[in-house]
Formats: sequence, structure tokens, C-alpha cells
Amino acid sequence: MKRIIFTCFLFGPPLLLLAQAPTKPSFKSAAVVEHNGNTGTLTANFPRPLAQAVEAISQEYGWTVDYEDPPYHSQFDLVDDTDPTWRANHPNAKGVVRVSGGLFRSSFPEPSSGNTEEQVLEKLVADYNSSGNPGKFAVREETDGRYAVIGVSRRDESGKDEPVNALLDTPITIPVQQRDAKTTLQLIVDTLAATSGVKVKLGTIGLSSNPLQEAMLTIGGANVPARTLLLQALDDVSRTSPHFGGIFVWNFLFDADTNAYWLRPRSATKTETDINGRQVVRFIDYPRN
Amino acid sequence: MNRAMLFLLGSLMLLFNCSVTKGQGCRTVLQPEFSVYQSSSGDGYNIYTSVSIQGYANIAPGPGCNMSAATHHVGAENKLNNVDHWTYSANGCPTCYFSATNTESIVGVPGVVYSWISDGQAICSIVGSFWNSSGGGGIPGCLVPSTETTADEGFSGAISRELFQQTLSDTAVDSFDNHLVQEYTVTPGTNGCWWSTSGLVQNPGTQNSHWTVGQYSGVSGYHNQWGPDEIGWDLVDLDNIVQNGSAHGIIFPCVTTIYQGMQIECSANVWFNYRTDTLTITVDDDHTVKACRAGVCSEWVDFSYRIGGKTETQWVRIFRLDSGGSPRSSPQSVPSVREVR
Repeated sequence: MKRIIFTCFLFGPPLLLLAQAPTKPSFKSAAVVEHNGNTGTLTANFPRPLAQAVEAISQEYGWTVDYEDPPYHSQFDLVDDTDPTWRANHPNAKGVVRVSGGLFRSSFPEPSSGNTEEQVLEKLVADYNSSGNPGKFAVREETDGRYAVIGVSRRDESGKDEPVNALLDTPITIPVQQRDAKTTLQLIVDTLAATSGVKVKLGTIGLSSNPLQEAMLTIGGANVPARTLLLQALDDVSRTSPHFGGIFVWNFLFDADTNAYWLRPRSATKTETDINGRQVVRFIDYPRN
Repeated sequence: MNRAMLFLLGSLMLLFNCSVTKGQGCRTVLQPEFSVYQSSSGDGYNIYTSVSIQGYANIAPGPGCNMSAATHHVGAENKLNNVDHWTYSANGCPTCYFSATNTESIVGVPGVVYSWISDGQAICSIVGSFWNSSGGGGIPGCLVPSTETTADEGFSGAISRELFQQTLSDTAVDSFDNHLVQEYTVTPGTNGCWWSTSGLVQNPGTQNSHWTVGQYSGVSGYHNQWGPDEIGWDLVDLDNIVQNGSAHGIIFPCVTTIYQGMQIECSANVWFNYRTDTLTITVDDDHTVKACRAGVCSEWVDFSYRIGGKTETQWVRIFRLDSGGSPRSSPQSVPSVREVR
């Protein structure tokens, strides 16, 4: 009997820990868009399912859509994401979190002349807002043919929806001056952070190459929404860069670990079928004259 | 003697007048001194071919040979894409100097190889062609480099990227200057430094950047070279990966792999894929990073120096004591910019 108790003492706690360890959810690396007659269906499965959905539907139809998180902060929108091994080695350290989203499905009428991009995006966002996933969002037309899906509410500490303003709508002032593209974008981000009091970081733009290389911009203005300056800057890069002829879209993601927004521009793409019938992803060219 | 017999005899007599062969009644020695020059080139849009023949014949007619009845001329044949073109010189005396040149061009379609036959002939008015030299081959429908070499040009602290310079070449020693080369994504890559809410790309590709051959950092004079290809994470992402990656389960060193294809512009918006490369960026939790392109790797670079919590823009390249093997020693530090964390 003693031996049994000893054995339980020896192996019981680790087995108990194993049983309690949360299993890693199986997210998908990309959302899937399926077509069935006049109806499209999108399935996303990710901590930020709407961000994944926006990227997939943009790529499917060649749309230019930006995505912006609300600043998640409560346990209703965030879950622990600490690696069990790391936790075992750092029992007293603060862990890390992730956004608590997961599976999201939406059906929408296929875009056509009578069913515009904006209407499809509105349906997608409406489906998301009723899905129980974190945050509430709205669709906004930024410029002609360019849209943003913007986080407009999050859940507070009691679980109630709490409206938030889009950080990129904050008016900022930067002198009109010629600067290289990276400096310009960094200045917009730094000025936004200084004006709003919210940490904002500019993530890597291009890993395999630097599309901002040798691009010079002349932009600025007084009390102009950061979004407007950002649109101008990225448009100018596309229009004048000697090394980049595509279109930038951005993800503006709030990271609770660093308590900061991260601006992550990326190239807009479109899925096409090549002459061999294969699905290929092509970059969307900026229409230079 | 009938009429047919007379015609045969007459023909034989004329033949012996200007043939290299030595007739019994008219011994004539004919020494051709002709050369054929052929060239093909492309500007990335068009294919140009040229065939030239030049020269003369030394003739030593034997006694009783009357050469005044014969004339010579030369012809240059340029058969491109199965369309035959000839250019002939005027007729002249058998020992005269002759030249003829034919040039052709077509718009080359990338991926198509065009047949080409070149020929130069010296022709006698009596016996026909008595000398020729031919050549040719297949010509690709775009000026495409067969080789691209990559050289590591070091780390740029200002942009936190490793710089790589490329050199194009082919067997014909063509110039690729002023052509555009562009990257494309061969297939989505992998990212061992990624976690679900990192905001990083899980399956990274290229950005579709392009470069003008003959320039480096926008400066002309770099024959057949392009670049730099600036590869790597920005400092903020490197810091974030190292500071928060472990807690999210990232195992260091973590490797990001991108499958970069390269294509050259043949004509407006028509590109020819000329090679594929694997790019890797490896980040270690001792704040070092290493980038590789096409098998050419940087040294390990210490990427983060902070003084009083503020990120310094001045970066210093630190070489590891070992050459990148594992396990590795900590990088040497520079006393004036000690890392403070």
C-alpha cells in the first residue's frame, strides 16, 4: 500500500499537470474562400480570425483592404499563451498572451456589379461581429477603392463592449520635408505614439528585400490624421520607388505583450489561375503612368 | 557527233576553266581566301543576327585556260526562325575581293528558343558554290543570364539588413546593364520565429522588389551587377523575437526561410525566370542574427545595443569567435556600447 502511495506521489503531480495543460489550438495558416454559385463562403481559424479573413478575401478578389485591431486588454479578449516548458523554467515570470479568437465562418453574395466590394466587406464584418470572437469592427472607405476594417470596440474587465477610437485617426503634425521612406514612416509612427501616448512600432517591411530602398518622399502636414499621412506615404512609395511597383496594405495590430500597436505594411496580392490551371498568388501592380 | 554530245563536251571544258579540280587540258589552281563572321545578340526585347562573308580567291590558271568567261560572287545566308534570308555581292572577276552582309532581327518571346543557321558561300558562275562555311544554333527569346553569383557586402546597421551584391553572366559575355531584375515567391517559406500573435508572417514570401542591373545602391558603373538585396528583420522585430519568443515556445536559434525566385525583364511586363534561391535568416537569443542568400552567409552579427534603455542606431558588426558552428560562444562586445538590459 505504501508503495502504491509512493508511486502516486512520484508520478501523480506530473500526470495531473499534463492533464491540466491546455492543448494548443490548431489554427490554420490561412483562411479558405470557397465558391458555390452566387455565394462565397469564408472559413478562418486564427487568434485574429477577422485579420486572416480580410487577408484571404482581399487576395481572392484583388482588393486593397487594411486591417486594424482594437487595443485588446481584458481577459475576455486575451488568453494565456505561455509555453508550458518556458513556464516551468520561469515559474514566477509574467507570461504571455494572445488574442482569444478562433473559428469564424461567413457566407456572402459573390461580388458582382450589383454587389460591391464594400457590401461584401460589410457582410463579412457583420457576421464577425455576431460570432463571439474578440472585438467589434466597422468598414470604412479610406480612398477610392481602398477600404479599412477597423476595430471599434473591445470587451472591458466586466465583459461588456467598450467603444474605442481608431488610433490611426489621431491628428498629428509633421513638417513637410523630403526624407527617405523608412524615416518618413518611422516619423509618422513616432509622432503618433508621442501624440496619443500609445506605444506604436513599425515592423519589418520586406524580409527578402527592402522595398523602401532609395525611395524618397516629401510629405507632412499640421493636424492631419495619421491615417492620411500613412496613405500618402505608402502611395508615394508605390508611385516613385525605384525598387517597388506594388501596393502596400497594412495590418495595425495591438500586441498585449509589448503593450503596443505594430504597423505592418505588406504587398497587396491577388490569387490567379495560371496557364497550367494552378492557383498562383500575384502581386498587384500600382498603376503608374 | 550529235547535239547532245557537243553540249556535254562544251560543259566539261567550261568546268575545267574555274574548278579547284585540275583538269587534264586546263590545270587551274584555285585557292579560296574567304572568311565568314556570324554574331547573335539580344537587348532583352529583340534578337539580332548578322552574317558576313568577305574574301577572294587566288587563281593560277594553267596554260590554255581562259578565265575571262567566269565570274564570282559571294552570298551570306541568315536563316532565323526558319525564315531564310540571303544577301549577295555583285558579280566580279574570279580574283576580285567580295563581301556581303545580312542582318536580321525578330522580337523574342521568353521561353522560346529560335533556330538560327548562318552560312557564307563563294559562288562561281560556271560551277556554282565552290566554298562555304556554316554555323548557327538556338537563340533564346530573351537575354537571360546563365549564372548569378552572390557576394556578401556586410551588415548595414542603419537599416539592420545584410547586404548582398549579385553579378550576372552568360557564356556569350552579354551585357545585362539597364535590364530590370525582379524577385518573386517560388513557394511560401517557413518561419521558425513565428508565433500566432507575433504579427510576423508565418509563411513569408518576397516583396516583388526590382533592381536595375548595372547599378548598386542607385549608383551606375557596376557592370552586370545589381543590388544590394537587403535581407533581414528590422531591429524592433529582432528585439521582440528574442524578448518574447521563448515564452511563446520559440526555440532558438530560430530560422526563417524564404524561397526567392529571380526573373529578368524581356519586354514590357514580360519576365523570364532565370533562377531560384533560398534565403535564410537565423536569430539567436544571444541577440545575434545571420543571413544567407544562395548559400552565401553573413557572419553572426550582434544586433542590439542599448544605453539607458534607448536603442542606439549605431550598430557594430561583431564576428563570432567560431565560424557559426553550434554550440557557439557569446559574441565579443565593444566596450563603448555595452549592452544594458
